Amino acid sequence: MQLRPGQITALVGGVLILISTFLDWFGFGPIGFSVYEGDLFGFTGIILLLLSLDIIVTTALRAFAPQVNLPKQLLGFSLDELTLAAGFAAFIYGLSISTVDGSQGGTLLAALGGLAVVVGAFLELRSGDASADEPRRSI
Amino acid sequence: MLGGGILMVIGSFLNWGPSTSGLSTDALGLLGIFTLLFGAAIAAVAGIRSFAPQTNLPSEIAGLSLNKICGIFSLTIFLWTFGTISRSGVKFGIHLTWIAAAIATVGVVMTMMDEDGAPASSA
Repeated sequence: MQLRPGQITALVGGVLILISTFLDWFGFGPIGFSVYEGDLFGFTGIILLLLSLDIIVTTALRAFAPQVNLPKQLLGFSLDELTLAAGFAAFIYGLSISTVDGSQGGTLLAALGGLAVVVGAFLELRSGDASADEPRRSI
Repeated sequence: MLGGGILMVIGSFLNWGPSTSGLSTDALGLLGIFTLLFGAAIAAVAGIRSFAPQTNLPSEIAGLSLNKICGIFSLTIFLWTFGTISRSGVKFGIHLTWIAAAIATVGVVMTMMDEDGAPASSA
């Protein structure tokens, strides 16, 4: 099985987001807090963990186990579009928190991972478009 | 979509934490500013479609329909504002914002269902 560049990029991005949740997101000096610190971040850490697992599992299943029958669409969104949405959400959150005083490296890693997922999903969408016969209007 | 977008814009100006509005980067960094921008974009798309249908909006941007882009925007804001409601010191603005983002997301899905004329999910 040969992985496409979009799949590799999305997988790497999902793993970066997963790793970022275990790093410090906020702190001063030797004291640091991960995104699982409820008083600071609510349960956004759990959401970020679930998003990263969703990205990793769906991308890996489609790459390594194509015989698994995943739904083609969910609420009108294709799986690639949902992956893009999850990556975009992680990117926006990591980027947002990275501007708070005292933010740590975990925020930027999450933003970087989210950006990688967006690029990967976009490449997958493009490859799907290229294989389709129907021309699409876009700007 | 229109109501959710407008409420997102309003929510970004209200207090999200003790004496900090959503637009203050002391609260949740740039999240309030993204809420304002995404809410304004969603409201603009819905408003133009409703009140100025002669305006020629692009059907797609970068391969994604406007509905899907609006859905991604509203879902992003919903996830992070709803995920934050259990942190300490949360004020009314953040509750208004997650409810508005949820309304906008539902509005987007309903719009997509209307335009497709088909069930929204398929296996």
